Amino acid sequence: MLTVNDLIVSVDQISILNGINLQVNAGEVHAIMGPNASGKSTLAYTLAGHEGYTVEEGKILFCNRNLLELSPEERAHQGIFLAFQYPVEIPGVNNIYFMKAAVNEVRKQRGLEELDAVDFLQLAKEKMQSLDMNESMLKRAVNEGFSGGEKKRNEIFQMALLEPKLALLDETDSGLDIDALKIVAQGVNAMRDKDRAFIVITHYQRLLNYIVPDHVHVLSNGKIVRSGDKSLAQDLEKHGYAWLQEEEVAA
Amino acid sequence: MSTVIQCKPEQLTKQQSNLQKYPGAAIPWIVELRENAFKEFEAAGLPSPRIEDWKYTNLKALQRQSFYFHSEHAIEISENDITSAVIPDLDVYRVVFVDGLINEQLSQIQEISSKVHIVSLKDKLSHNDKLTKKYLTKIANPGLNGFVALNTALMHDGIQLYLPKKVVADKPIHLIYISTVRDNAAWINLRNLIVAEPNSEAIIIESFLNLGDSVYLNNITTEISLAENSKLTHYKFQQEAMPAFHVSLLNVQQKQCSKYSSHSFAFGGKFSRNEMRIGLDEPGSECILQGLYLADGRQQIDTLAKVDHNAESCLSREFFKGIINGKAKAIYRGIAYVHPNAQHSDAEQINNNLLLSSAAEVDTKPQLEIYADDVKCSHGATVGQLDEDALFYLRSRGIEEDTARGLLTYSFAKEIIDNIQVEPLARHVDSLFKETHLNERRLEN
Repeated sequence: MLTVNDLIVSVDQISILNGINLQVNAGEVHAIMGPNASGKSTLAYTLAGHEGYTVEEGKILFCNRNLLELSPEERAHQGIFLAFQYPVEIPGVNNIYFMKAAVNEVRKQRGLEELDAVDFLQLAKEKMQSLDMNESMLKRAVNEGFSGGEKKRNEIFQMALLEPKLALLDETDSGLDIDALKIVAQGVNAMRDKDRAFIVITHYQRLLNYIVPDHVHVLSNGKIVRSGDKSLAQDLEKHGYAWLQEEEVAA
Repeated sequence: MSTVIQCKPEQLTKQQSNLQKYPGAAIPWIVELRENAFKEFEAAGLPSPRIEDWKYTNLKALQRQSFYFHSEHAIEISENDITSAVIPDLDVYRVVFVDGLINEQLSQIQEISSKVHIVSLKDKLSHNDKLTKKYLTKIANPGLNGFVALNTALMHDGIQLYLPKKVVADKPIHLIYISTVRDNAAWINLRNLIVAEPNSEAIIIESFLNLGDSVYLNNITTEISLAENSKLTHYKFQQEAMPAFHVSLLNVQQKQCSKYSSHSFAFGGKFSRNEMRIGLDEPGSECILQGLYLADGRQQIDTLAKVDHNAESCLSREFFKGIINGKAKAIYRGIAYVHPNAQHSDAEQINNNLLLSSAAEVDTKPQLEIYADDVKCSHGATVGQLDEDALFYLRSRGIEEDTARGLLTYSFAKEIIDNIQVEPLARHVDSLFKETHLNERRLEN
């Protein structure tokens, strides 16, 4: 589904990703771990098409299309979704208006009929229930005054509505208490499907107890320095990231 | 009936302007008012950028334009022509002006008069009215500038609204001004006088719009006197099309514990100047001035809001937002002048601007002049662009860039719209904003 080859990305002319290679197939869950400033979020933003991240070299193919030619909205239409680490507050635009516009735009691009207000509301309520969200959040401005947990749930809610092929979860666990974490993980697990893939970015093993990955990659200094199965995450939890750097130095 | 004069504003002579054609020609004090005001106009001309209050305002296009200064042939219009000004789900007393004169068929003057006194100023000028004599030009001094001087010299029609003691107008009063002028370039002077006696209350709504696309100028002077504990809420929707010039002066004098609040929406016209001068003359009076201006293409939209704190324990708020796109220019000048005896004054000014293009311009100058020592005053202005992170967030959900920009612009404006307490009016502004914003985007492309 997603093939990343020798990806080099810079921000303000400072190189952040230094040659990433990654293959994600439909139905898989990949976890990307790594210390602060290793480039995890940069990878997520680059895949989602943020213009502040300049691709210097390399290729990204998504469902056999060159992702780098597509605008952020076109990527969303193709089925990419980024759950933000810091969801943006947009005062004055209510959640329901925003999500109805988004869902219908995506449906239009995918050749589906647009939903009317009644159908959309019903769909939204269903999804909210499964995420244990209060319906009043629909009427509130996008993320405005939401608690950290509400913001993250709102991201998963949006994901559930947009039904992406590839979902990127950027530190979705940060700022969540254990109950909220379980609910969010349930929301993700409910969407696991043979045609859908996830890239889960996290610092901690904790989230991966609930969203069990097929592959774990460790990112350090803009490179994937190690890949393995879920046991790699457990090793990291035990030993921290320091041993990685020692190994690098030794090599 | 009239010989038509067309000339540039500053070339207009007293002889050409034929003051005796205007209402009240047989009443000495009115004749004197007009003659003196015309002298003021001749001496002052139109305001020059050397005057601080007009420093950033570019009047060149207006000065170059030839205008017809007298026109009495109002074109017949119908209900359909004013649809865009009608506010759905809001029951109002309506007065419709066509090219500066009240149109009786479309207005409800009679109905209003039994509850509050609202009459045509033209009639009052012709009948030597005591109230008119007491207040007219006492609040807006013709010496202020050339526009108000000319307005006073050539005033023709408008409303005179009188709210007797303790009268609360049971419905808002909606003044709709429509310009139909098919011949080019009419200069229309509108003059309104509002007198609120103690403990009276009303809501005034003004809508400015036009048919067709000819050039014209609306020169509006409004004088408002608010007695003790009276309350006036004022909405102004300026939704004229591109060729319009709009110059408005609003002067308010407030007595003890009176409240004036204004919500102004300047969306249209090639040139628009919205000037408000509020005198908080007695203790405990309050004024709240809010507004939203939207400039695109080559529009110039200019706001000046001056509040004089003349007495102690008064409160003033200014909160204006602007959205400037294309090669448009917006000007905001807010002044709170706290006089020496005005202790415990509470004044605040906020002006936030959103620039949507690199060629757009805004000149903002919030200003406090404080001559009392025990006051609470603050001011601030911002000029910014759309938040790139928010833009990316919306786009990452599949929303097209243009739509996303529109949503964020709307989100910026929403704060002002949300401060409108009357639900149907809030909805009206909301749809007006969306229409204007989309139309202007279309113009741009």
